[in-house]
Amino acid sequence: MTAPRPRWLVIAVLAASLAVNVGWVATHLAWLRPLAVGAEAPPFALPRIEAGGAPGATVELSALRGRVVVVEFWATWCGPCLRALPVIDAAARRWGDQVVVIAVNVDDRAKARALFDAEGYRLTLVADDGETSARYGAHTLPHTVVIDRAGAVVAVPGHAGAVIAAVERARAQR
Amino acid sequence: MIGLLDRWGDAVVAPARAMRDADGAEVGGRPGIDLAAAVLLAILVAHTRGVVGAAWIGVELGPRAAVASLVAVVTSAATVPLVVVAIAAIVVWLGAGARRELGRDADLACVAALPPTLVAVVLTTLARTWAPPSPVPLVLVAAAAVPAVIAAVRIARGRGGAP
Repeated sequence: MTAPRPRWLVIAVLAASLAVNVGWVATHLAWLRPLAVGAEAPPFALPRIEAGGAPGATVELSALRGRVVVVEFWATWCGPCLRALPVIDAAARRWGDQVVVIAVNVDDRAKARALFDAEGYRLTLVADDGETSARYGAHTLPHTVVIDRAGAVVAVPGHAGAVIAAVERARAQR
Repeated sequence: MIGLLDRWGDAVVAPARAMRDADGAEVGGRPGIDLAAAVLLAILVAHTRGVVGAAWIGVELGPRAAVASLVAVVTSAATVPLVVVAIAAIVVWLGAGARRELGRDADLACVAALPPTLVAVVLTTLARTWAPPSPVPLVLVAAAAVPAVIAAVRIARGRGGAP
């Protein structure tokens, strides 16, 4: 006599996973809406990451109206993110106070702070709250959004070079 | 579909039986089709939001953006199974010794990738739902392949015919 086939294990896992994910989609439809160019950037208030990963003062997007804002979602395990950061940091130094680059770390706060200190990055380092990365569509990393002085999304560039070009265009706008 | 689910379940809880079934000459190629179907199911159930997001992008931003988004989803889901297949195929081929047969060894490797695919479904759902974007613990996923790879090597070494 052969043992019963364990198809129910697979069916149970697939069904449970589907239920959880469909439930998430049903309750977070607004988060999945594509971040279209021209739309108002979703507001956020995220804590700065201080020494040892401790949370610091809150950075609010609404307080940055009048300046071009780059929101860069990244993680310490993400190779392309680590390659993009020095390029964006160098550009941010050239841009000065006209442009604010917010590096939103989505994984390890302490490691992120240590990396920024070691590399001497001057970007504003904040911690994700889980909600902001989802609302900005950061399903893959790095994920960058450029916001103009009026608070509207002007680009969702795919690489550091495109980020810099988008910022230059936004800076040129009056 | 039921046949696929049976074979997938076997690969998880009874890898030796799954490998015996997959090593028959009459099922040549079926494990590869099974793995492709399993990855497709994994995308639908564990990457639902990515699929919905890509569809929405297609409607609002055009098909090109949707394809790029969908490729990211498929890549994310298929990388682990493909890496497991590649490594398992080499291990089984080397482990089979004189009885190695590339096609059948590759079939066994495809079966060995089924358990990690199921584990990745669970871990992806947990990671995406209760944590910000984070990597699936690859060590756990890879560990799920070990019993199946061991069973595959045993089956391959015990094949009939002249060594």
